[in-house]
Amino acid sequence: MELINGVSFRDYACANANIVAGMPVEQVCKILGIEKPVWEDTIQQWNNKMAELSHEDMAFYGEVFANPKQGKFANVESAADGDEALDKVPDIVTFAKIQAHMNIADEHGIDTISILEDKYNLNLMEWSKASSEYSKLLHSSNESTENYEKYLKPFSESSEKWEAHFREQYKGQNAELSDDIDF
Amino acid sequence: MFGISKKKKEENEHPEYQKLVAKWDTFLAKMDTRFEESLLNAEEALLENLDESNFNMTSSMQAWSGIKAQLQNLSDKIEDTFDNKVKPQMLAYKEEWDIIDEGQKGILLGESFYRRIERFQVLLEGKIAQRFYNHAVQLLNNDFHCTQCSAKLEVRKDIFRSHYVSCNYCNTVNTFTPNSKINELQYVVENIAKMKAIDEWDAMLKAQNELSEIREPAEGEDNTEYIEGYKKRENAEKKYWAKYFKERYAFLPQYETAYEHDIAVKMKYFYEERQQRLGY
Repeated sequence: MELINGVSFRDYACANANIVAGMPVEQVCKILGIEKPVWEDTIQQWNNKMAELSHEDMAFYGEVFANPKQGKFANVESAADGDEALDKVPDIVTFAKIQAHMNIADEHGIDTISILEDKYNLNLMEWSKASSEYSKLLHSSNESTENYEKYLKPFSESSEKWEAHFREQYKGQNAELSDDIDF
Repeated sequence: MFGISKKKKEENEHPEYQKLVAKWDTFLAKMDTRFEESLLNAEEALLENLDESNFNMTSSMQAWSGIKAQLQNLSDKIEDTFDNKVKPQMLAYKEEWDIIDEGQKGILLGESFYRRIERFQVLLEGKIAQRFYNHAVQLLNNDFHCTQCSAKLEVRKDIFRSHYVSCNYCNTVNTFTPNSKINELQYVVENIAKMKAIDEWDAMLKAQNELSEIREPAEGEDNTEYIEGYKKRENAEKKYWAKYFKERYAFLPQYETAYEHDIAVKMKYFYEERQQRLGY
């Protein structure tokens, strides 16, 4: 197992996931037993190696953000605890609505972080956790008709409805570039 | 076709149809001009936004996101206009088959917008990154003193993250922690490097497109042209990455020793694809 500054790839992935979940970098350094300059050098070196990783390691990197309490971080208390995210995004149609809102807001150059905070009382970490959970459910829609009916179908219908709603809401916010050009 | 020249064909067209074609050409020319003007205006506005936001790159890129969506909408408008206004009128004079070329004019122009937006974005991100770099690198000149003896310490100008700095007077090892703007520099140099490699990027895309237009030969068929296409693409991709890394190492010389490795990593997917298609 390759180590960079004594940190394996999986340690590095868990550390990143815990940082996204709100753990201070200082706490991460303490858990890994390294100082901040060494941690920052470690990030740079592992980033440079991302393209060489095995499929297994890449899959782990994708999944760890939904479950950051692993390896050296398994028994650490942190902001990654609790289900506040799923309390605030309780079902897949709510997830679809928030995602639609963010997509359409982004098209209009509106800060999506402020949308999450002001409209839905969510921080980025909570949204990331909710997205990860619901993405897994949507992915499972391929497995059975039951899952399709339960997850993907209501998600698609809700997305379509809310995208139309938010497009209408933000209409006129930015003038179209070619309103004066007609055939 | 059948020896009828284009001029002769035009002379045979219904005059009302010819007017429609001319009107459609005028509409497309106006959309193209508006697209180019919008790109120029966007660049000016976004660079101004960067200065006014105290070099908040997130704010500038968010604003670009909104403008980009509007630029892409121009392509949708071309398609909608042809489908809902131009084609119905043209069908009064021609069969659907005969107006395919007119539809293609709109499709090609609309597709070109996406490619031109992509290129513009490389240059825009590079210009924003360069302007941010020029501003933030000055912050590295700020005083940094030894925690033990207060001697002024020299901070390296090519490391943009926390690092150790030894004091030449008392040998204390100090930790330099950059502010957030300096921390961002390690990421903005990527965009500056891409901008400086734009000519090689253009050549790479050209080689990739030319290869994609060569039909993959069936087993037993002559594959000379196909092999040649892959060679051109390989050369163009290598040249792009060589230029990109050279520009990147100018800011981060500590990584120059990894040149061969970095090129190999970037070319990995090309060689995997070639192995699949050509067996080597």
